[in-house]
Formats: sequence, structure tokens, C-alpha cells
Amino acid sequence: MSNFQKLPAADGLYLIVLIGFSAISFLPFWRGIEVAGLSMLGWWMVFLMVYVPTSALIHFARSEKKRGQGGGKR
Amino acid sequence: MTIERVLTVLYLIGCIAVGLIASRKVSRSSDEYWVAGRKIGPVVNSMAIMAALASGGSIIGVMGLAYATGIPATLALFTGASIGFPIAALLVAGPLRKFGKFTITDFMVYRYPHAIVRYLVPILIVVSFTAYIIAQMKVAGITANALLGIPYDTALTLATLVFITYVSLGGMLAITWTDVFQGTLMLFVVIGAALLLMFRIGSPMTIMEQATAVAPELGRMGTDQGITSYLGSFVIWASAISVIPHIVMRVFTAKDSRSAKLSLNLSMVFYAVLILAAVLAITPVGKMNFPELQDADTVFLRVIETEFHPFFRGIAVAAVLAAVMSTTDALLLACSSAIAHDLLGNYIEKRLSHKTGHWITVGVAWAVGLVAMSMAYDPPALVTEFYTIAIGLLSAGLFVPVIAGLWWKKANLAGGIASLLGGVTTYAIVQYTPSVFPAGSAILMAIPASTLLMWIGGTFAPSESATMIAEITELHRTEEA
Repeated sequence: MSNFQKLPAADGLYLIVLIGFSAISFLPFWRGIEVAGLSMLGWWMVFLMVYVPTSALIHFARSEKKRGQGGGKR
Repeated sequence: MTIERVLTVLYLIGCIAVGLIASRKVSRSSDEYWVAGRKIGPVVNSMAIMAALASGGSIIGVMGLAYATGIPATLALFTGASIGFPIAALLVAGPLRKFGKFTITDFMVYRYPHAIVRYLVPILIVVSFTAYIIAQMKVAGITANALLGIPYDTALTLATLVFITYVSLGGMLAITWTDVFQGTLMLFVVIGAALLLMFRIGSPMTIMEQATAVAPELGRMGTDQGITSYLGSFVIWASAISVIPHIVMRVFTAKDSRSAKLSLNLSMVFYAVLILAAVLAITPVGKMNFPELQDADTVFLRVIETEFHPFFRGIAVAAVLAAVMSTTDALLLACSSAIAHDLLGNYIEKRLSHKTGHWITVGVAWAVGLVAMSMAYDPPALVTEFYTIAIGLLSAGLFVPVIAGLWWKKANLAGGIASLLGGVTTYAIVQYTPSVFPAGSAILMAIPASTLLMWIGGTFAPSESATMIAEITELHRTEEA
């Protein structure tokens, strides 16, 4: 085992989702599509700027709740 | 312009007063000066992080960049920063806060104890942050010039003297107090301006449709920029948040690791709202009303100048100066710490009194600020583009060694040094040979090169001592417990 500490599964999954969403941004198929004059890449970035902060706070709250249920070790 | 000038002067006097009050507390210890005694709560810290990151670049520069290169390119850059926050919260905030020192260099030198790391990391910080500071100073100069009618050079000099004064006197505590106020002011002005424009014209979709009917290039991917340029700026900021010193120092100011993580997550919410308001409402209106601006960075100032009441203009000048100062003060403190703490810290601690050491620190802040100011008299064209390249250098050198140093047991001295040097060298070579490599590709090559070198070093060179491994493991264990 070469990690100091295994990243919690939920954190790992959340990072994979973020990386996946980021990768989707740069796929070629929607670069030419425009909605209200803005390319879909632009709208996807707008979505990410809303989704990422919201989901990060929800993820943080869930992690804290889980820790609390684990005996309030903190 | 009387109202604008009075409001601006009041604001500047307030900043100096904060520095003077904070100086009484912080001159007592290094802990107080560099990391505000590690007592900052998550709400205050998140506003301070947002204010530190949301620079003049984020108010003036984001709109200038969107005006000149289009909204998709701009959002690619700033969405990278937004994704960088959860990466930092999950991977570095907890263990680094537990590490409990002052700077990112402290961690690098502890994890990879070698002269190359000890000297190269602070030098990289000073070089890239000086570029960052110069960009902020340009914003201060053009703002005061456009909205207060003060000549660029005079405005630049005055603004610089004010923020060097309160940073050098008050350290991190003064920065935290002023950042909270400055962050609030920035949000008020940018969101307020966006809402007023939306009230007059319509929803962001309507504004976008009208603006792109006049200037279709605003919503399109730029023809002279390849996808590597978008991806490059995205990756620079996604990786930078975990390692850029003025954000990492904020992690060290948090009460505990939970507070550090929450601060990062909350600050991202404020930051995203600010950027979206600027890009989706204010920039399109600026593009419609002023399609032929010589200096794209002045678009927000033109909108404010023509669309709003003098009182709001005065508040806006203060807000832009707040954005500049809240970032520049943090950058200045980080630069100052790179020299006074990282490079000269041992000498100062061993041979000089605490008081003398404190005044050397103050002197370093002045020296860095004045050097940057002298360079800002001849400013760069697009500020955000300019400092993003400088931040890329830091990400290229520090991201892999820091993440591997915290999470990979095999990360060792050889891997750390090779990764640092390889990342920086690759970035510099690719960035400065634009005829060979596409724009934006430097970071896309530097991070894989840095990762590969870390892997080679970690796999084939001697592993770290059992003590080091136990100590890093402890950072995670304590974090978990």
C-alpha cells in the first residue's frame, strides 16, 4: 500500500465526478452549438460554476454528518 | 467627481487605520503576523479567501478578458478556479492545516529537505507573484484614472503606498479584517450592477442574445485560440488553488482542519456568483455599448461611468480598489513571507531580536511592493492573461510535489526535486517557444512531466525515512480522528 491514507470512497467518487464533468467540457461535439448566442461550452461552464460550489457544500455537509454519526470523534 | 473622490479617500483612510490597529496585536509574535494567530472562523475566512482570489483581475480583468477573447474562453479559466477549490478542500486543506506552519515553502522544505527546494520555491513565488501584483496595480491605476480623473502614474503610486502601509504594519490580521470588508464591497458592487442592468434590459439570456446579435464573437470560441488554450487556462487554475501561497496561508489561519475545508467551500460560492454576474450581465452590456475599446480591461469602468449615479460610481471605485488591494495585500504578504520567512527566517531567528526581525519583514514588504510598482508604470495588455501565465509557473512546479508529498508514501527527496525542477523547466520551455507549441499547452505538458519525474524518483530512488513517513501518516490520522 503506497498511500499514507486512503481517500474516503465518497471523496474519491466526488473527485472523479468533477474530473468527468471537466473532461466533458472539452469534448469536440458541442463546440459549434450555440444557445442564445453563447456556445454550449460556455453554458456548460456556467452550469459547472453553479454545480461545483453547490455540490461541494452538500458533500462537505454529508461528510460532517457521517463523522458526527461515527461517534463525534472530532 | 467630488463624491467619488470623497468615498475613495474615506475608504483608503479606513484601510490604513485597520493596519495601525492590527499592528499593535501582530508585532507580538510571528504566528500573529503571518497567520493571524490561527484563530479565524470559517465565514470570515471564506470571505477573505474569496477577496484574496477575486482580484482586480476578477472584477476588471474577467470582463476585459471576456470582452477581448469571448465568454467561453473566460469561463474556461474561471471554472478551473472553481473546480480547484474542492480539490484543495479534499486533498490539501486538512493535512496542511494539521501541519501547522506558515507557508507552502515550509511544507515543501520539510517534505523534500534540500537547498534547491529551500531557495527555488521562494524565488518562484516572488517571481510569479510580482507579475500578479503588477497586473493588480494596473487595475488600480486605470480605475482611478477613468473614474476619478487622476493620472495613471499618480493613482498607481498612491494606491500602492496605501496597501504597502497596512500590509507591512498589520500582517495577516489587517489583511483578514480588510478582506472581509473588501469582499463584501466587491459582491455588492458587481452583483448590484448586474441586477440593475438585468432590471433595465432583461434576463442574462436576453442580454446575451442582444449582445451576440451585435457582436457574435462574444459567445463563440475564439478562432485564434485552440482548445489547448481553453484547457490550459482551466488546468492552471484547477491545480493552482491547492498550492498558491496566498490561498494556502489562509488555510493555515483557520481554527482547525474542518474550518479550513468549510472556508474553501464557502468562498467558492461567493466567487462563482461574482464571476457569473460579471460575465453574463455586465460584459455583454459593455460589448453592446462600447464595441471598439482600445483597452479591453476598461469595459467595466465604461459601463459604470455611463450607466450609474455618481454615488454608485464612488462605491464602485472603492470596490475595484478593494479587489486590487485584497489580492495585492495577500500577494505582498506571501512574497514578503517567501523572503523574510522562507529565505531569511533561520538567520533572523538565530541572530536577530524578534523586534529587528519584524522590521526586516516590514522592509521586505516595502521593497517588493516598490519594485512591482516601478514595473507597473509600463503595464501588460490583458491583466488576467498576464498573471495566469505567472500562476501557471507555480502550479507546474508545486502541484505534483505537494499532492504526492501528502498522499503518496513513495514520494521522496529525489522525486520531489526532480518533479519541482522538471515541472518548472518544462513549463518555461513550452511557454517561451510559442512558435513550436500551441498556446496554453505549457501546463498540459508540465504537469505530466512533473508527475512522471515524481514517479521515477519515488520508484527507483531510496525511500524516505521511517520518521518522515510516520509524521505524514500522523497528519492524516489526526485529520481522521
